[in-house]
Amino acid sequence: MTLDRNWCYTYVNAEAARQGRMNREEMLGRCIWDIFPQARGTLFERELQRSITEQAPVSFDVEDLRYNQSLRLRVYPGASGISIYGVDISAEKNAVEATARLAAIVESSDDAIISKDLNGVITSWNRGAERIFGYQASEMIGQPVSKLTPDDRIDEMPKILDRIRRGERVDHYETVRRAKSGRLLNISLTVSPVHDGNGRIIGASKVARDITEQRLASEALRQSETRLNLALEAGGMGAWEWDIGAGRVTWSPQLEAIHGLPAGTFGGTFEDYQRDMHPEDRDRVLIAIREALEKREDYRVEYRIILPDGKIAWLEARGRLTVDSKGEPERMAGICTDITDRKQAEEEFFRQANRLARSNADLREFAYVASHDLQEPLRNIASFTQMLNQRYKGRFDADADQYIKYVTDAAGRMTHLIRDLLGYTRLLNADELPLTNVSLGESVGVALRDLQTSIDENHAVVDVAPLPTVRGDKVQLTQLFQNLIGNAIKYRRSEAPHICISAEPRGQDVVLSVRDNGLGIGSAYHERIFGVFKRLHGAERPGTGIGLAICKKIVEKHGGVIWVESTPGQGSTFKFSIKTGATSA
Amino acid sequence: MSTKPVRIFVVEDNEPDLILIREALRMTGLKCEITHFKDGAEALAGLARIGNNGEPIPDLIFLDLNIPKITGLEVLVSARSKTILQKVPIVILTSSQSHDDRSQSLGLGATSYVTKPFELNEFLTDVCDIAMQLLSKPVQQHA
Repeated sequence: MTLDRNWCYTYVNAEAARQGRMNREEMLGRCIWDIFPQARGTLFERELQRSITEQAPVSFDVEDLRYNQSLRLRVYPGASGISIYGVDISAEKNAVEATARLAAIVESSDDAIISKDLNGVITSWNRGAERIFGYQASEMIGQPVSKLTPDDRIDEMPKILDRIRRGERVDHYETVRRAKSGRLLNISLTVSPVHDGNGRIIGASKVARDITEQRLASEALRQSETRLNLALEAGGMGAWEWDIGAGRVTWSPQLEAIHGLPAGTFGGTFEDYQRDMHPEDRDRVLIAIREALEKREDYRVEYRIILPDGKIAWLEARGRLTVDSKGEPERMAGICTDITDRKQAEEEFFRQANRLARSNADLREFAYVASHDLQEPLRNIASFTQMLNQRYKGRFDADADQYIKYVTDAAGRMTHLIRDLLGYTRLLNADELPLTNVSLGESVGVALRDLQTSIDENHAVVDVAPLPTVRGDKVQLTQLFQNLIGNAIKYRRSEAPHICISAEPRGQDVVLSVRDNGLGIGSAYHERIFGVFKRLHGAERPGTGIGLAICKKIVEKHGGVIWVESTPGQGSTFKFSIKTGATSA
Repeated sequence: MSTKPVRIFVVEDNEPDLILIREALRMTGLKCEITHFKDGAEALAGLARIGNNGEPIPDLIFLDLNIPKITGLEVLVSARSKTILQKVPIVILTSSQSHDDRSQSLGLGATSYVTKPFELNEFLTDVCDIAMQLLSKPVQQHA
């Protein structure tokens, strides 16, 4: 368009009218400032004035915000006015802006973004590339990209370039590259062909992401999963998770194995979870789950499942509840342990305990039989041989009297045996001892009184050192001393029995000694004499062979041990330990 | 002068013990008429006859607990349920040393509970003594 000296249009072409959104007829002959008053005082007016004043062509860009268009204007002053040529540069301007935006993105990206030509020569190098590889753009542009490739991967590059030449894209290719520092990096590469305006492939853009950290993290995760799996397998455990809202149950492969299912075949619903549960245990399990949900507690329950082969397995399930932000149950996760072996061991234990209880009951039954059914006929035998002895002695011949005496003596011995045995079984069946403070000195005193006849008959001397007070059963401890002192007198040598009773502390215990100058016992018998019916001597020394067994039982019931130190011909020392634990008397 | 004999029932399945009881009663010096029942059923039948056909009431009953067919305790209960037998002394003479047996017997109306002593002479004197003690009053009445 052209304007005269009065700023009136003298010529407007079609393009100029389009740019002004006017008809040429409306514009011709009119003043530009009348038509575009908003342009007054702007860059546009100033540049026109400058061109006229300087009588030189000027060129400038204007933005027409009304139509979002950019115009590049050239102004040529002439004798009759000015000519203005406007070119719409909106598209060009948008492209430049887009490129600038792209460049900004490329520059600010954490990923390395590199472009290269088809020969693999680097043509651009962003800041991400500088950061990851450690090379500045100035060091790399113009260099072969193979500079980054470790020696063992040198053949990778030609292959990638081949694919690029065929127009293919390489996506997330994980490889290794070497940084400037020499460090090897785990890299994920995406390489795309770059086309020129005519669609020819002229190079490649490469996005490289450092996945070293990610690789380390995923390696750590994989290792920890491996460890977890090992632990689960070693413990006969499997993991599970229950998404309560979705009603989904997830089992680890180990848990599937515990249930006898091939990996990946568990159905995953709550019904599937109950499918192989033992019908007798199902309600108990469901109640346990409900309680855990209601009380927001951890969940633990033992139950049976029926395996595909019909066998029964015992499981222990433990779970922890997770609640959502409102405190509502969201999911539960935990482990299941195969406790079949433990359960079997428990059952075996209870079977054994039952067997033991039964055999104890049998023993009590035996004690009753011994006390009643054996004593009754024995009493008759003893009574009537005595009657025979008292009333008919001398009325048979001498042999008959002797035979009757044998029967009388035998019945008497058997009576003692049964009484001692009864005492022993009563001790076996006795419940926990009612413990009191027992002065052992007093116990020995009572025992000596009971043995007085025997002591006198044998002219025995008994020395008693000061003895402590212990916690125990007075009657039993007195019987213990009575048996030991009685034995010391019974198994005497020709010289008068001399017995010493003393005590010495040993740690928390006290050890009591009953020393005699009697026959002594060979070391082969030191253990055996404490067994039931074990006797060293024949009928020449009275006794039933139960006395020391009773002693051993009494000491054991008091938490101690009993033993003998002896050499034949040099006397014996019976020793037993007992807990003091008594408030000193 | 013939004194009227004391009538004594002995419920005892063990014959040697019956002999010992007879011995002990002889030691009392009393003239005794002993009726022996060898099990609980015989004893019940014997007790049932008393009073009906002019069968006289016994002066003393020795009763073993562990006897065939019907137990001594049942015989005891049955005897105490009959009005005419309520005052008759009943001595439980048994080998049982059980506390339960003793307290149960005394609770059900036994006059005395004696465990058969193991020694012959003890047995004889114990049975003799208890018989003398319990028979002293009736004997005087009869005398």
